[in-house]
Amino acid sequence: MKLKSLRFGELELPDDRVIHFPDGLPGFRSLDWVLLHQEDMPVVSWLQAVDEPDVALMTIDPVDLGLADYRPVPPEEAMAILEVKDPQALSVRIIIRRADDEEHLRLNLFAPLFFDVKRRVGLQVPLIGSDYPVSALWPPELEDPDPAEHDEA
Amino acid sequence: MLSLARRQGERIRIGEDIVLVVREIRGKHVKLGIEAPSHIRVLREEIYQELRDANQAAARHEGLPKALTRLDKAKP
Repeated sequence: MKLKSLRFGELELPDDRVIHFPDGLPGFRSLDWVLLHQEDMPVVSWLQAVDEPDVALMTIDPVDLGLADYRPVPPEEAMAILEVKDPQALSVRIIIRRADDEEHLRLNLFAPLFFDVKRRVGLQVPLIGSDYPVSALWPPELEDPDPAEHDEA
Repeated sequence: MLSLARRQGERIRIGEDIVLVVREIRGKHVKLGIEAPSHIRVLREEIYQELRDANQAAARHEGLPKALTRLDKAKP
């Protein structure tokens, strides 16, 4: 398949690289996405929308950020949507972005991405009832100067 | 937008599989029950908007944060 990406240019990828999000991602049209590695920074992968060249979200495995206590469990509805029986079959990534200070990270811990890597399906799952923030500052030892930072601008 | 008046205990059916039940009305609050197939995602609108706004903010920030560079160097 051919793919256009603002960040990575025009790419030719095997069809089986596509990850289908049956529910899409809130805010975007695309149901099909691919994970593209950031070359100079292997822990980071960009979730690139197949149909929207300008839409790519930075993602990371929370383990690589040292978040040992962060172990989101997919709720039953999520398992049903992904048609998965064993939660162990799912891998987790979180969406991250650059904080306004350009130095630090903002992590969406509230709505992680669950992937069934084998079957190439994914879902963003809000952890309703959890205290996880949608925009947590990282590294966590920092004092958050602007907990409400949400980049409305 | 379609508007339907319903009393407590009454239902609305959407398509074949989705039923809304007015479970309780108290002052300005209404409690709704929702029966839907498990693959249908049901979210409070505020939560949906929060997800959407956070995702769109993430898509706007194309640059790599400096803190990540340090992370990679720290890894073996």
